[in-house]
Amino acid sequence: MMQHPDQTLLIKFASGNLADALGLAVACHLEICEDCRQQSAGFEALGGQLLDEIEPTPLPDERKYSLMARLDAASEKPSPDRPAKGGSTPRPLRRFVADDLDRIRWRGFGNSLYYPVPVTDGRHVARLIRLKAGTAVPRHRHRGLEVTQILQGAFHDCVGEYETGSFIVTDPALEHQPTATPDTDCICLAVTGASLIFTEGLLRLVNPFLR
Amino acid sequence: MIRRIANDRDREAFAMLYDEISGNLNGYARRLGLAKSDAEELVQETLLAIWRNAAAFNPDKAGVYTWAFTILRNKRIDRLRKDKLRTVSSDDLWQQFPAEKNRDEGDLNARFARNLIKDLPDEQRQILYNVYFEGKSHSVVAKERGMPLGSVKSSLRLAINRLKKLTQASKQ
Ligand SMILES: [Zn+2]
Repeated sequence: MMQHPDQTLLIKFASGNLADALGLAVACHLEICEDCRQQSAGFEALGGQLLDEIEPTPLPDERKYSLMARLDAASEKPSPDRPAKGGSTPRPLRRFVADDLDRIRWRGFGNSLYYPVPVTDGRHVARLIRLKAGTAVPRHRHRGLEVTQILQGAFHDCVGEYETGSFIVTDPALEHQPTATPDTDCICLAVTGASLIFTEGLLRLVNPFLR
Repeated sequence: MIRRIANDRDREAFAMLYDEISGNLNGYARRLGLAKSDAEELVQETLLAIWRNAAAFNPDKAGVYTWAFTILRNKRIDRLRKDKLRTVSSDDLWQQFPAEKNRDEGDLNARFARNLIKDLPDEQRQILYNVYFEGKSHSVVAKERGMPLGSVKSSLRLAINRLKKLTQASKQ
């Protein structure tokens, strides 16, 4: 099953109101999902329509003169795009982590490794999570929103199976235990609104946020 | 017009484009809540980027207004960033000028966009603009439009549902 961001998220993304860690997750999804790319382009066209029919607010003439005077200096300097080719890391994450998912310096131990994505937006925490093939994350629930974008591999939990590319929004009330499929390590971008709450055994002790 | 700007570096064509869209861009920037001088600077930056990158404009993919909208959106995001290293830039979210996409995808996008605009009742579309494109809260929109808060919420819900249906229809 392939999960997609909902229309509300896509429209916020396309209109420029999701320039944060959540936006990075949507951007990673759009890299591989043509349907959502198409929708997002449709919402951009909605923005174009808004611009077309809006009541204009004219600028003072000086603005035009000063802009025209800057044109010569501004010629021939197109901003280069980051190359689309390269490693397995999705393009939106390349400024923050290594180009290739296999070259990331994973932290932690055991079956479930992580790497903090150094992006700050004051609202979210973003991490890459690597779950060894065939293994499970301890049973846990979430305080607040968690979005998971699968970058490699696949996993399943009590709700269903999620294939590569899925964009999953986890219900805070749900207690679940994601398990990677046996063939490949599953790598996800996880964006949380707050810390995870672990509910299993020893992990209670190491979770400072548990009451 | 954009072709003339791109191929001939035609300042006259650019001045015409400026006259046509600068007021619209500025009107939108003001509706985003920007102060007068901030809005005007954002419009200038947007038009400068259009001048620089006119060659990347692809009329098969989007109209001029849509293209200008995406450039203003990106410039606005990048102006707001304080910590350049650790915050999300428009470059992270969108390939600014992607290599030639296949023609089919451009056509599909255009058709989806046309249906979107045609199928959405005007009031619902306006409320969608107020909330998502202008970033206003539901209660501000209610006050501005002289509508009860509940009607704003239900219009928005209807609009989103319609978008959902349209998406499903376009997948078939
Ligand atoms: Zn999708």
